Amino acid sequence: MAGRVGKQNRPTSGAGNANRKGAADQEEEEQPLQAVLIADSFNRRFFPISKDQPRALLPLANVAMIDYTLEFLTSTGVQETFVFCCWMSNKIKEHLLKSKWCRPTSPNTVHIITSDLYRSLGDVLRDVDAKSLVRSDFLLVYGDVVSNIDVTQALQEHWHRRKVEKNVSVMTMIFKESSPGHKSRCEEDNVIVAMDSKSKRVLHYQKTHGLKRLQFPMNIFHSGSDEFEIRHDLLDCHISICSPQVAELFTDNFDYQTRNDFVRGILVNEEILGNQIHLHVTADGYGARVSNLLMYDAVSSDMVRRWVYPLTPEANFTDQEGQGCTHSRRNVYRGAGVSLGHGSQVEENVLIGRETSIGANCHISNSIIGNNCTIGDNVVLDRAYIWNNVRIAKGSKITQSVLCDSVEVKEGVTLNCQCVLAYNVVVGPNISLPEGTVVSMHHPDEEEEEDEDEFLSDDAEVSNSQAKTKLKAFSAAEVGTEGRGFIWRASSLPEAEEDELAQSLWGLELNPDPESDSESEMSEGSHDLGSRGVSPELDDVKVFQTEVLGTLQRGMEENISCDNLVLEINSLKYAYNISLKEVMQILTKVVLEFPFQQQGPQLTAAQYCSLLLPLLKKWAPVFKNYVKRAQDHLDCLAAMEEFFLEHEAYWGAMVKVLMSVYQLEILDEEAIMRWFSHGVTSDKSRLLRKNQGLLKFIQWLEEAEDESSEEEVDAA
Amino acid sequence: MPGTDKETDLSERIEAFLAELKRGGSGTGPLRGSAETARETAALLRRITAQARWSSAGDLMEIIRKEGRRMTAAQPSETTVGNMVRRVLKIIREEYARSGGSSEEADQQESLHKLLTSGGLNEENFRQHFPPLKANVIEAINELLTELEGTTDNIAMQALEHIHSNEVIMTIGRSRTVEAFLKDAARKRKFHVIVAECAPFCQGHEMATSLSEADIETTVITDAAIFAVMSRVNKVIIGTQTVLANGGLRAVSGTHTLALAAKHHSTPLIVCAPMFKLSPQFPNEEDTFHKFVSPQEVLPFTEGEILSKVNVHCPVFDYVPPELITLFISNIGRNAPSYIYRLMSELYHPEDHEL
Amino acid sequence: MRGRLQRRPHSGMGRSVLLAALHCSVLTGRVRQVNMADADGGGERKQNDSIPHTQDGTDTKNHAIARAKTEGKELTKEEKQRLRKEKKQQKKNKKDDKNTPETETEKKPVAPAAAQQTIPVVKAPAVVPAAAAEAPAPAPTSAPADKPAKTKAELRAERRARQEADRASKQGKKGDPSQPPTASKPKAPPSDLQPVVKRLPEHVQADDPAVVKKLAKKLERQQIPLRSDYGYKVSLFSHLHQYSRKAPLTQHISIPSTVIHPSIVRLGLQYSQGIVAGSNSRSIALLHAFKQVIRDYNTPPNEELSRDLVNKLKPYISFLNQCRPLSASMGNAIKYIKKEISNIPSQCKEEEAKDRLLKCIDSYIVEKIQLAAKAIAKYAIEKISDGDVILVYGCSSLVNHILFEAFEKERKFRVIVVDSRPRLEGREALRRLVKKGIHCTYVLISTLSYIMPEVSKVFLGAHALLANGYVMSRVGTSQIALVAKAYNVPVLVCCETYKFCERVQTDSFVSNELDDPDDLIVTRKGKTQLERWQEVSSLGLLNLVYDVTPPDFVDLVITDLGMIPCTSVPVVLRVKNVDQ
Repeated sequence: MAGRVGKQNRPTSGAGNANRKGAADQEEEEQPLQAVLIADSFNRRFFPISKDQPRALLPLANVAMIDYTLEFLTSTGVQETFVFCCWMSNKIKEHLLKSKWCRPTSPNTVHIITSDLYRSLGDVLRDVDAKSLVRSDFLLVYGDVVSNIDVTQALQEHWHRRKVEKNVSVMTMIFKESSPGHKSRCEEDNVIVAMDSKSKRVLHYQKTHGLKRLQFPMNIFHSGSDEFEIRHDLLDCHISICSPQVAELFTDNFDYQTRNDFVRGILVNEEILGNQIHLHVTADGYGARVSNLLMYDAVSSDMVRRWVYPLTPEANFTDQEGQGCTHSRRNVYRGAGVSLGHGSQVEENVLIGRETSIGANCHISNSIIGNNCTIGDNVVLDRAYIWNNVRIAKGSKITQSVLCDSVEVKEGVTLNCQCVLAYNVVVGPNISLPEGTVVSMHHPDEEEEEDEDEFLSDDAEVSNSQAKTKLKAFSAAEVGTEGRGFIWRASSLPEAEEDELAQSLWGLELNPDPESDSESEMSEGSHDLGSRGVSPELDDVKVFQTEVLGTLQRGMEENISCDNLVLEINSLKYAYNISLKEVMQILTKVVLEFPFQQQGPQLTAAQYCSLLLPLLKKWAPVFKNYVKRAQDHLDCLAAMEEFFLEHEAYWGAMVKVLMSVYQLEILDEEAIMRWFSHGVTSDKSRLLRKNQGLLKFIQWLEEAEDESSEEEVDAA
Repeated sequence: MPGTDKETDLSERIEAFLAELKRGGSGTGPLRGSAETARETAALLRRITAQARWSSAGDLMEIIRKEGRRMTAAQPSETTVGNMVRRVLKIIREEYARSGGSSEEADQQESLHKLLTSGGLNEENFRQHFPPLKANVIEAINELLTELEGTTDNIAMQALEHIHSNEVIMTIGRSRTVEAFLKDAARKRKFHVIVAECAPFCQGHEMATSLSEADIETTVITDAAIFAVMSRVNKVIIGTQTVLANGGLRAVSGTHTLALAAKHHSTPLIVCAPMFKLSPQFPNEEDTFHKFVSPQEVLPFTEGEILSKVNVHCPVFDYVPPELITLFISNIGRNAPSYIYRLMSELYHPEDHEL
Repeated sequence: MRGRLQRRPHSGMGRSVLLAALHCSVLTGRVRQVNMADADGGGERKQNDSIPHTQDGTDTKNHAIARAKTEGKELTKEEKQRLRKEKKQQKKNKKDDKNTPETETEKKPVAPAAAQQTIPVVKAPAVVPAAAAEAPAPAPTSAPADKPAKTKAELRAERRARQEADRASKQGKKGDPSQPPTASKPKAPPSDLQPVVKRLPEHVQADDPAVVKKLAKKLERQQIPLRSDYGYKVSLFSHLHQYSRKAPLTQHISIPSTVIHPSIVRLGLQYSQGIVAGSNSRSIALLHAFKQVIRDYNTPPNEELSRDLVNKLKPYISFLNQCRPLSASMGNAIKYIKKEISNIPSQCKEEEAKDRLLKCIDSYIVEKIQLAAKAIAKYAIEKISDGDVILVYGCSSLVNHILFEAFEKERKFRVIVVDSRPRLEGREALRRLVKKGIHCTYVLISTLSYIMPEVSKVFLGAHALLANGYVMSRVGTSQIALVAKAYNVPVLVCCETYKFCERVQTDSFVSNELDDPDDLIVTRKGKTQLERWQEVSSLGLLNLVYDVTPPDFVDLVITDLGMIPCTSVPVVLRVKNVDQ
């Protein structure tokens, strides 16, 4: 079908054949083309729906999403596909086993690999590497990608690149041209890409969402080519052609979780690793990932409007019995045994599954209705996505909502935009659900425990879910007198995040999440000469500082041993790539400020000391770990000075601090001496040095030194 | 054991062919002309006859029906496949009848009575087993293949009877048959061809280039200009994708407009269609008749947000009613649309109309 | 020379830049030319009786005589009455020549204008062939495209020179110096208001070398470059000009133009590049340009605004006509303006005359175009009922306006926009309609017969309504009407009365416009079939712009005068002529 797509765009036999044949023998001389299909989203966007059914199996135009992905892969000539499932792997497995993909005749052999340990794309690819599954370049897709793009060309470009300069280009991402504001563009995936127009090499890659201003490191424009494109008119198809290195790279860098991490990682260390990422922009074909319900809406309607031809509803490419339906004017698809009541209007872009009966005087437009549904009289459906075995009583009105399997809607119910009725929910009669209501049989409370944990995949809470639901009673106010189900979001999260969840379900959220910050930081991080914004650097240090503080505090509470603290701080150091010098300064700063953290800022010098000194004693080893070279000593002192310059009130305390530091052998005297003699930076610091106590201390030091020297003399 | 791997080999071939068919179903019409498709189908059927396990004509017909159904399902718009299957079925019937002594010729003049009764009896006595049947059938299919080989030339040969010098001829899109037809005429006569480009796929351009290379004076016009230019055209010669049972056409979209324009200027409309395009199908409004490809052919994806509010249709085929057609030129002669039904009954057995 | 140097680097760049380069380069070449022209033009005016004595007097005389001959030939083509008129004037002028201009002016008020204007006219050829020979010098280097064209122009120039020379010699023997001014009379303004309609326009006889030559000559006289032809012709259409958008007319004229008002130049460029398209917007743009011209106009000493202005406009019009053949609507607008100008009494002040004209133009725009659209919308909406499925073709401003109005009046209908290559104007219409929130479907014209069964009414715009009831409109319109007829769907044509025109036409061949054939080339998946069509002699591309729809396809024409059948167009026309 790759050919089919190709041809559909290419009326000329010559090119068509040549191209496909080219691809074909390419594939022969290479190993059979492989693909890695990840049938897990590793997030909980589709909760509560995906509590009962993994996202890859959710029906889109009455066909499970994963089938589209597999069909796409097969059509592009993939001969071996590894399906990685985690959440509800058994369901996916069973689905695949009875699908056409596992028939002997299938040109694309599907291996199902399940593990509950996958928490991210990274984990999967690491596993791919560990199991060394892929032999050559492979396609990487998610289980919810719907596409008919002919990647043959992209593949050839990729292969060619790899031939020309060995293993430099590790990945080719496939994007589709589409002007911003296109419905099938997922806001969250909006990217700004700077690419080399000739080599199609990605120079800079950055998600735009939430970021008001975008910065491009200058150095990318210094590189070889003289022609660049900075494009925002790209739709990320989430299809990428990867070389085996990709898996290895994931293994090497344990902190790569998503493809984003990977791409940015590669781009940042391009000079070091010498790896490149390329881009293939296609103007025709269709490719989109159903990453949230808005996308679900968009992709479904595109499907019905035949944008994904030849993957159309009536094509029945999964060839299951009875799936077939007929397509008539204005994109109305009717399955077998559909009955339409008298006076009912099926406007346009409607798909009605088999054995579904629709009552009289209904008005249906832009909707998809599953199999075996029963719809009463005078029902109005617009942009409604109704899955299988749903019963809708007469007089209800549904707009842009999703009704999962065997939902029941009683009489006179109105569902406003963006409502979601998860599996087996019953609503009504005679109520109107406000916009964005999500009703589920699972009680929200099941959530709360894991809400913090980001990477937690979906399977953890299945266990306790059923038990709880029984306990709670359904509120008639929310779901109607005969209703069964809980309003999902209302109580699921603290008020602040309340709408945030519904949004993430419908994918409207645009508020920058930590990720996007780190992105902006990445864009800076790429060692550039010209446009280096200062702020992100600082942010970085700040974050590190707070982290350190946190560590120490925990250290206090759970009194963790010092070397553990050191370990933690080190790891932080790497995480935020902070230089040793900075680490030490920050550490000092943090420690000195520590008393304030505990007791608030208003402290007398005496109190301060009394608080601080034990700390110093406690953490001496930590300091020792960082203060080794003479330079370190000076830095440390400088940091102290800096601190005390800020807090003049505590100059008195300074001596004591120095003293204890000296006694704890964190700092040695000549360091202190040198600091005292040379370290003068401002007149204030000079003032500082005028401070009585300090002078005395220094004097004492000198004497001590003399003594020691004398002793040595004596010894001699 | 040889039998089994023969089987598997056969099934593989069938699968491959199905895949190929599936590929063929793009809006731009099959990449390979329907002639090749026909030939391949026939060849495959021959192979089935040779390799499949069957004892009597009945089983063979069953097998072929089964495969035929799958093939037609694989690409409903490619009717030639179904037609070939029907032809082969017919052959089997004839061969069976001949080896059974009675001649199928009797059936040539079906009486209504025969039409009604024949079916039932036949099925029974198809069970009889004749050793030579296989060879005969294969032989007959070979004849069919040789016939198919010649079709385009046979049609082209008649060109000079229809094209006189200094004619202005209009055609639409690209049809290999018409291409050959015109080129053949061009060897003797000078005439002017106007090609309607046939958006969005613009096969017309292809046609025009290939014609002009055979230095026929060729002019490409947009689909919009068909009527405007028609008044100077004195013959319209088109190809078609299918000839329907009622003598109508299923041809690239735009043909109906062309035919209407021709009618309005009472310009003769000649259809070059080899016999294997005859299919016992009647015009209907189902998806098997129309075929819609992706809207992006018409309106690019880059159009942006308005796409979600607009319906874009891109049907590939048009229905042309028989009354607009003047003449059919096929490889076995020239017929009026009103005569098609007769040819139909000669080519296919009434029971095979529904596979 | 500098021109040449700087043009090469530019050649790679965007058209705008290129143009700019051309202009400035041409400038250097041309301005000198023109100044000179003015200079001795002025010289003549001072002492115009001394023609024979000027050192190049003989030469000029020859030209003059030559012109006399040719004009004479040209006249024979024209009507008897006119001939007679000229005979009279000849006699007058015979006398004139003997008198000096000063005396003249007192005696006969008509003559001096004639005499005076003849002189530049006579003078012009003396200069222009030179210009034609010299100005183009830089041009050939400019772009390979217009190289042949230019050389052609030179050849033409030479040929003409030669012909005129020997004609002159013959004339010389007869020796009749009084001929020239008289014969070149027909350029007198008032006389060519009626005939212009009846005379066959040059742009439909491109195949007649005589006419082409005449056109070229006329343009020279008005100092307007002749637009280079594409070089290739589709059979059946050899009588139409085939221009290429690649070579816009403005390449060869200097900015600031000597004869052509900048606003007109801009307009011309916009026409030829299709930036301003659609007969309504074209005529409106034209009128605005003319307003600008009139504002900037001031009557030269001892000239009459009513005469001089019209003469001034003439080259502009033929310039625009070169850029793109005038639409019927524009023709009407121009006629109207000319009439208004000539109606201005000679005694009225320049200022008041000017703002009177401006007012006229404004009122024309308002009444004939804007109010007309409103009126038509009012009628048309009655024809749109709830649940209608309306098919529109291309992007007719009027039809869009109607649909908007209807939508605002809460009519429930959906629209099917039919579009056709290569222009794909329908997409613009689609965008506009969808922006308004109208429910739209979009198909190409080839799928017309699939979509037609859904349609309940067809609304079509028009480019012009011809006196024989045929509707002239964007190519494809007739086809839609045809199919609609076949499916028994009513066809309504919407057209303002100012687009009615006296021309008659029964097919789309005789008078039409050919657009740039290269527009037909498409690239699909990096494969362009027609890439090198020009190299294949036997291959041609036809890009028609208009077609005519026979009245029997059209059920109703909605005009600002109400709803009429096509057949009553002539009636409307007569009414118009009466009230004009």
